[in-house]
Amino acid sequence: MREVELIIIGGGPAGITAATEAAHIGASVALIDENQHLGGKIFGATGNRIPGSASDKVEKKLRRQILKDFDRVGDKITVYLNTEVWDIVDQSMVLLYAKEGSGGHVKRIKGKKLIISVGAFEKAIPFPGWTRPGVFSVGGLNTLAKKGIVPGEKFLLAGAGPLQLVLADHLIHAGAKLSAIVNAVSLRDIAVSALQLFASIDSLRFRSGVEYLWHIKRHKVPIYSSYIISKVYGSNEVEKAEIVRVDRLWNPIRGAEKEIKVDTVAYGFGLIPCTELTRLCGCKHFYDERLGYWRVELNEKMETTVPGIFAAGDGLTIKGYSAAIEEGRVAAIEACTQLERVNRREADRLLRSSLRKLKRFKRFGRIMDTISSPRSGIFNILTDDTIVCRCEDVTARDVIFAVADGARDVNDIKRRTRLGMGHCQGRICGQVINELMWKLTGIRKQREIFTPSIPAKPVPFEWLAGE
Amino acid sequence: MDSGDKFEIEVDGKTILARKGQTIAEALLANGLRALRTTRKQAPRGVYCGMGICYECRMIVNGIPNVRTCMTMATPACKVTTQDDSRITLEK
Repeated sequence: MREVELIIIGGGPAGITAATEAAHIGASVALIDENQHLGGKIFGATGNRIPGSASDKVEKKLRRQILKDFDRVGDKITVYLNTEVWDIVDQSMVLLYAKEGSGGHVKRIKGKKLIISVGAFEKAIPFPGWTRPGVFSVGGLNTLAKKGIVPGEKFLLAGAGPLQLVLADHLIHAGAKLSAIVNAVSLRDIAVSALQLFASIDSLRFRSGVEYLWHIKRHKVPIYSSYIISKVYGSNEVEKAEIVRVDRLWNPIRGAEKEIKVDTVAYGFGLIPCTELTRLCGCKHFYDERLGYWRVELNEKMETTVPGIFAAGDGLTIKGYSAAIEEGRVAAIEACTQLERVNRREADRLLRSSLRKLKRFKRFGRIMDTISSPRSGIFNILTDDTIVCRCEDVTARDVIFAVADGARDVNDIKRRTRLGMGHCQGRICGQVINELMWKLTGIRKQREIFTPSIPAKPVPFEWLAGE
Repeated sequence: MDSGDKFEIEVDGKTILARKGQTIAEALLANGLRALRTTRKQAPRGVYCGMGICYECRMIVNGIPNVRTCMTMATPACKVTTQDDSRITLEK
């Protein structure tokens, strides 16, 4: 077992900045990440092969700066790469699993303070055929496109949210043929949010948005607003897609279907925070109706309701890397204050600029989340055969039977159907199980969430032996 | 591109070219291989989230099953096999 003052889980923009700040102040730090490199999804990608937009360039510059600052104090930080956290006990003991081939052997680290900065993943609503190879999340395909990898011939982009435009831009640069962009949000709502963005004077993002739209228009990619993807066909992989027009609540309009011949689909509704670890620690969470996801409760110094456990980055609310950096910094300074590495007065001085910047970032996140958040009508595209839980092949029909058998809460459905018990631990299906249950029972009860379970990530028995 | 950053990996007994800095999943997709696994119900699956959350891209890598290929870098001479979940009885 190792002991340090501060443990940071997640080495993206927030985690890297937090580690740098804490090491700079003088605390002993352990930084854990499940990837083979630091940087997370945004700053970790290497080998990009396409020319970027204005915001790509800003991103690149920031990435370089952050990693440089980190390297300067890096010798004071123990980095555990390729390592997953599968449990956290007594608020400060982190149980690790060093993946095969990583060479790691440390099984637990004890810390005095903990920062959880594990980022976000993509929101998805099941639709018929969505498990076929060739259907990707928007973010997943974006990572590929940035590297110049085009895994198909004809692409269809569906869902909602700004990431769709980013992906379209990157795919065109990578040489892909875009058959259509299908956006659930109406043109009117897009226009309103564009104005809001403009009003929030986030000129970089606004400029990038215009740049993307211009690029898409120049390549004459058809855009379908107020449409959702309702089906993909194919013997094995994707061969064809069906889209359908929706009303304001995203109810599919019968007779307004349209078939498009494509072999690759990108699908997503923006990002949602990863909350498994903060939930596992017993931190208080609440469901934000407006943003459409569960989030951890925090004070302004990024501390959760469990003293000594902090959270930072897109694992809280989706605001992007610039905000994540400031949040990581705030969490680290506050943790160091509690560790008595820095006095209150000095800490307040250090915190001032970050806290001010954070106020501004909040606005951007709110606008973006609000337009991409799925509306209730979309659940009407599910058929009985639609797979809801990808890991365990649980269909909507299985859930219907469970409800008919008397299942009345999400954990009960989990026990009866195995939904949410597979490798991903309910991260994907857990997003929709409430809506599905409400639809089946006709009763809209209070939203529930799967009880956090261990291991938070699958761990082989051999590793646990001797624990 | 310069050939110096390319190397061979083995996929189901066949050889494909991967590029330095690519994950196994990326190398497979760059070579047009999208179905990476079959579920217990024999349905094909491939990369979905691309960031280690969904576990759909699991394959057998150098004899170890259930390796997320989107999180694992391709290395020279690595051996990758399509995973059939119905034949993996014990989680290893």
